[in-house]
Amino acid sequence: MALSVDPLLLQAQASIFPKIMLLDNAISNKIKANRLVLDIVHTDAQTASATKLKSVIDTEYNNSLGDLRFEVRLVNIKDFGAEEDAAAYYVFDASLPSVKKVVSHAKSAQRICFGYSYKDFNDGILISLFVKEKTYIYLNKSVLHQYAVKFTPIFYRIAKVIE
Amino acid sequence: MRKVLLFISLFSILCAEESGEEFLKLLQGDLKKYSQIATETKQNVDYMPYIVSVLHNKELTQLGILSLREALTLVPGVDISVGMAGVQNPIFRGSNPFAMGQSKLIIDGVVVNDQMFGAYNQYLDMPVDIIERIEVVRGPGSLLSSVNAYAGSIHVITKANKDAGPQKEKSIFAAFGSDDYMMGGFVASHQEGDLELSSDLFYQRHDRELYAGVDRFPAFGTAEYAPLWLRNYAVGLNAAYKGFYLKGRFAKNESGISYGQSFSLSDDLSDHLDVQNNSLEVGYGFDMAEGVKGTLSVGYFDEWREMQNEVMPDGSSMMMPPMGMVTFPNGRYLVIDYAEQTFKERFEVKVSAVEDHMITTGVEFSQSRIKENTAKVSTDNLQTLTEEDLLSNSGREHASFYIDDLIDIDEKTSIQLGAKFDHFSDVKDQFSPRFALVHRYDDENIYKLIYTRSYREPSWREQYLIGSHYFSASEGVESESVDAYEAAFIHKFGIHNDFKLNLFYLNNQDQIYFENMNPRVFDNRGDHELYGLESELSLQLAQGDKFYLNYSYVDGENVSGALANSAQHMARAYYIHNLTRELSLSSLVKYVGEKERTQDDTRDNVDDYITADISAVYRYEPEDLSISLSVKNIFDTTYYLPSPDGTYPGDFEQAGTSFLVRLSKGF
Repeated sequence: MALSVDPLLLQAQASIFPKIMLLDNAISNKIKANRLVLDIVHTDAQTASATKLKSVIDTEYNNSLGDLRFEVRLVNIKDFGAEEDAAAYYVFDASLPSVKKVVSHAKSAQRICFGYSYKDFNDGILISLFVKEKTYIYLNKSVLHQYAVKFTPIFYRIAKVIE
Repeated sequence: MRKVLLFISLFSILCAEESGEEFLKLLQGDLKKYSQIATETKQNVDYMPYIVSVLHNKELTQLGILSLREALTLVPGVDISVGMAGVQNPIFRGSNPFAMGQSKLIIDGVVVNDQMFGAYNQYLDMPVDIIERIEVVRGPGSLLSSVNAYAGSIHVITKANKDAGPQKEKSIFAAFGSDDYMMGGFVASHQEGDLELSSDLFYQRHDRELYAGVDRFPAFGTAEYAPLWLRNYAVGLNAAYKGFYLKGRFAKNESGISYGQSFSLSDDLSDHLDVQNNSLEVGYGFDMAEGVKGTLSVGYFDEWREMQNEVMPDGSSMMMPPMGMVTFPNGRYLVIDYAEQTFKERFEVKVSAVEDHMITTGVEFSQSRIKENTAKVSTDNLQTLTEEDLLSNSGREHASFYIDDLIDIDEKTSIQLGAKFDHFSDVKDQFSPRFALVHRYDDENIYKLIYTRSYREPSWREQYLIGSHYFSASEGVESESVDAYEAAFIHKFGIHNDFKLNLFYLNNQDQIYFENMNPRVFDNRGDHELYGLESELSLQLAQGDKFYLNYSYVDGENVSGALANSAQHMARAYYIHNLTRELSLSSLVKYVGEKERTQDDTRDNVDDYITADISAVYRYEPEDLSISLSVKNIFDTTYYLPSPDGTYPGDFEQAGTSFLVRLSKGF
């Protein structure tokens, strides 16, 4: 059965996460063929939500991020392998056993792993976003060193660090 | 395009290792934008200083809910009462079940309560097919700073006037069901550059009648069934161009006279009640400075009522001082021609420029006038009519000033301080303060404390009704007021799962209602206290299934010496099961507890009851087509809503099993 997602949260993440990718100090090393790639890794049940997320990002960014080409790829978890070379990854539910390899890969490749829910911080995702009385970017401090991703200083001024 | 260019230049700035302050502002702007959307659409309401229930179209449709009235019965602590001419009125927390204006109905930001009754019942048949969501505030105050309610407020956001968010809907819909029910309509929208147009329209009808039994003239009349037939249509029109907006709604309700204007079942099948309402608001929003937005608006509202009712059957009698007991061999007819108009002017300023503050302040003026004011009486089967005025006063002027500030003390705590001052031409001025605190202990546990003082000005029926009618007015009647204290706790476990508990204490003063003696005069009858709790559990289960349960309890008094016509215990539960991606099944169960009577009413309490509905919805997404079948009251439970003492001794029996088939197609 399809994953039930909050449309507003998805829209906010679609708008903000690509911008956060630009705050990765090593982003220039993660560009391949003049393209910045974000992989949305999904299960079969999450296909509709993944498609929706890609559609919203594509509409807002029109395949460009700054003067770079920006590509959002949908990757079924069944097809995900160690050879994946995206600049960043997005998962809907990191607690699923099949999805854990995405988090592991992101850490080893020093790539940002975004998650739909900050509840998955226990499962190792690095960044999420939550809408309550305000909208917060959450940074998972406990795994930051495992990712070895360094952000520009302005990111730490806007993100809320979760221990 | 500007944003893209900004992006390019910002990216260059980052690559050049400059501070990126502009990029930071861009990100902060994004965060603020989504916070505002969440606040406007009430998606973050659990974290805000209100106690709000939000009902969404999707769930209402899955549950087979047809109308706004039916949707309100899902809200904890809300019940429905039946008054004269079968008028159905929502009661919040058992508060004064004999008053009509204790809650406010606000449709797309426009208050539609009339002056005559303070009521809005003719809008309760609005089909959910044109409604995006319903926001129900339990307790005084409302989500609009310019509006004060007493026991609660109901905010309806229509699909045609949906606020910021996804593209507006275009759809057609139709339904048919029991009692020859038929309904059809559409929602449409169009955008051309900066011009946005949207509209909704519906027409519905049925021929329902309900067994009424003996009325207050048991020895007279032959009718047994209350005519509840309905012919109802409405058109909503909206336009927006840059800062300008226009919102209009035109509605007509023609219905049977139900249990009668004076609780006498009419033998005349031509008796009817026609209500027509028109409302229009035009406004302009503009930036006064950075973080300061002003809105200037003018509004118009009118109501036209035409009623014909044989209020006393052939051969009945009534006491008419100074003549004494008068007998009417040919019965007594009442024909009403009534119309009122209200003009409103409002200027409101929202200030977000002050860090950690969201200030809303404004002034509003309104002028209400009677346009038609005629009551005609006939004692010869409408051959001749004697005309007299219905109300003694011709108008009401009102001016108000309001201000409220939502202050973020720190990341965990916000408070809201508010005050409203109202000046009326015909009742005492009112001051309504509000204090609310919300403490977000963490993302899972939220605490709220709220104090509000509010009031309800007397309706014109309560204050100015003249002539020999079932009810009488008291020109010296004052506004009723309430000091409400509320405490709430919300525990969230998982993104879509939560438990909510709120406690309330209401100190009602100078309550306006009538006592059952001849004449039945509306007057300030005393102070009464109500207290209780409301709880809700909401769970999202495997496969997107949803389970919801609420329970409410109220105790105290709403009239002298009793908690009359209100259930102490109420509960609602539903389960929506997604069989497949296309097909969902739901069941809805409602429990309403036993209801006491007024002290002088010697009848037994009204029995408690349980009803159950089931629905099936099939949705074919590629064509955005859905069809649903609902069966209401599947066990054909016989249940009653209480009647006033001295009217229908057997109370008002409600409908048994009924069915509804509904279709909709999106474009």
